[in-house]
Amino acid sequence: MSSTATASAPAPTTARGGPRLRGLAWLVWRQHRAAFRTGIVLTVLCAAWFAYRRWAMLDFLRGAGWPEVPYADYMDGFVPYMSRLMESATTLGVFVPALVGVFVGAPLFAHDLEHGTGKLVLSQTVGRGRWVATKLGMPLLLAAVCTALLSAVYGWWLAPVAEADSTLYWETGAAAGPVPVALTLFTLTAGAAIGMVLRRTLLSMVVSFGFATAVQYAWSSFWTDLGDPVSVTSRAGVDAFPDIPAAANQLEQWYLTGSGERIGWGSCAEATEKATDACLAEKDVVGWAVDYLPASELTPVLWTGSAILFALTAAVAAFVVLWGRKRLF
Amino acid sequence: MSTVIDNGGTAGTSAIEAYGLGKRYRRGWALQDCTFRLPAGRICGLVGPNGSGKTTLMGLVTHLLKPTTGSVRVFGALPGSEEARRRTAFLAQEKPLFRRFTVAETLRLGRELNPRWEQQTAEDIVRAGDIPLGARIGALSGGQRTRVAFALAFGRRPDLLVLDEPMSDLDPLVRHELTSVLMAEAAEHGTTVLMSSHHLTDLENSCDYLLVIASGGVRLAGEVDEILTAHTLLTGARTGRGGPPRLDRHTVVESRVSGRQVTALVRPDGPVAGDWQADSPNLEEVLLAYLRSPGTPPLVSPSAQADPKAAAA
Repeated sequence: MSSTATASAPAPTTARGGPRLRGLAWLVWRQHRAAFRTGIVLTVLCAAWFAYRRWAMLDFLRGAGWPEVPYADYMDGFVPYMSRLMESATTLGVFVPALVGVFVGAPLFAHDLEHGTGKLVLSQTVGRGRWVATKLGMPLLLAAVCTALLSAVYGWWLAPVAEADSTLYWETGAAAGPVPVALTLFTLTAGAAIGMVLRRTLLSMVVSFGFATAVQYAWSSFWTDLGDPVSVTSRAGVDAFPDIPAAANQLEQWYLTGSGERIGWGSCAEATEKATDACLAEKDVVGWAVDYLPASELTPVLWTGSAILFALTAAVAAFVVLWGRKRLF
Repeated sequence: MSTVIDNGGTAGTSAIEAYGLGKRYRRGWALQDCTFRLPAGRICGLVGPNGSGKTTLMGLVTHLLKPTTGSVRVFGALPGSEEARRRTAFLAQEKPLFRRFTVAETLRLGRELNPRWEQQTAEDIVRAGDIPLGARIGALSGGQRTRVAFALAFGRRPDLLVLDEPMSDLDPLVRHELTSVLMAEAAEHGTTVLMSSHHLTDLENSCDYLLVIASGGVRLAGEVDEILTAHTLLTGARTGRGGPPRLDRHTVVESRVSGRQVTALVRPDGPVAGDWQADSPNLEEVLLAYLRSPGTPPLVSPSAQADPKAAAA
């Protein structure tokens, strides 16, 4: 038998249209191919739907006389199109990161540690650093490509009306930039880290869901703080609100007193108009002070926030690799 | 305080050399002061009570664990080194395989992740068990799954094969069949095997080397033949109130009194005097006696003695 020993037989063609991968990359693809294929198919379907919605939206806009007529003239008819944009922005910025974190990130290592298949792989001629890096790297790469593509197609859909309306601009703008990519990579890496530490698939998925929710909450609460706000004041009474640009994001507003002090605009919420007026006079309210982010701030804010998220992702990834090398078994 | 049978010389390569090896978890020591040598080409049974650190020792040899104290070398290399990983195959007790993979994909895993891979060897083992290559692992029986795990291990053509209770959950027929596969493959390729088991009779049939560990460390190590010839099973009549007469100069592993009869397993040092009937014990009797008597000084044959210099390096 030793005389006819074959060092390595040619690879049987079991790939069935999958990518031709070797070594660990093959293993990671084969093990997680259901998740990877689902991700790719959903990305393509979503991108196609975005493109279709863009076509439908442009059809409406052209019919309404866009771009010659102002937004206010076709605003009412635009509501359903705007809803689609808003919903898709939520999907892209909120649901995609959470889903990827829970269904791809959390089981990534937890499943192998729970079922012993990690031992199987590491008792082959495979370094654990390489295993951890490949296992984390491939989903990260795929998630980055898919979310970047979706974000780009979404941006293309949004572009014709992006600056028409402040809410639309700021709420949906976050889905078009680098943010969905950054959030997704962060929750994915954090899910993997949670799974590696907890070593139980279901528990890791639950904790990852909680984590993704917390990240979304923190992000939505703080992302506008990353901007450089502009303050405007008006001293023409409470009926004359200061002019702010159409696509600006109004952050906060105060009553302005004669001495230049800012007081809460709820300070004079009295039952009757007369009492309110008296209160305003007593507190010497002369107008408004408003902080807002100008439209030009959106892009820098999104990139600053994404840079922070990418840095956090890198830190968590480094933790995963270190933990995987030192503490896996 | 260990007895050296004779200085017969310990030539040949060491498959495993451990020196003062210990592993501590948060809950305490899982393995302590484990010093031994396993010469290449042996089929070695690893025996010990539950919790004596057999799985821990195997984890240390296969680099799944890192030692707290001491050191271990596999063919002279650190377990984590490329060389040691390439030469060592490990089959964990739960025999983990990817349940959604087909048998062919499982063998492909072996091919993709190991520089040395012999597809024919692996496929032959699978085919001999009438397992279709296209079958899903999850659909196989326990015995079939173990056979695939064996194929994956032998396809790598390992120089050292570490098996953690490989037959524990199999019926006697399958166990017998897979033991034959194991013996045939190991004999054909000169593979060194380290195999833990609770089935003492299985070990007696398949192993030519033995390593017994208990909480304190190594209890017995060496060739099965040498271990057996080093022991004598004595049977005699009880005289008076005292224990068996004139055994002081021998190492008594265990002595038991039943009625008027005394049986003792001893490591004789010179001829046994007194009114004893001497018999050769079988392996099971020796193993049980050592497992029951943790106080007995360990017996390590010369070929199983680790050289501190080689292990520490």
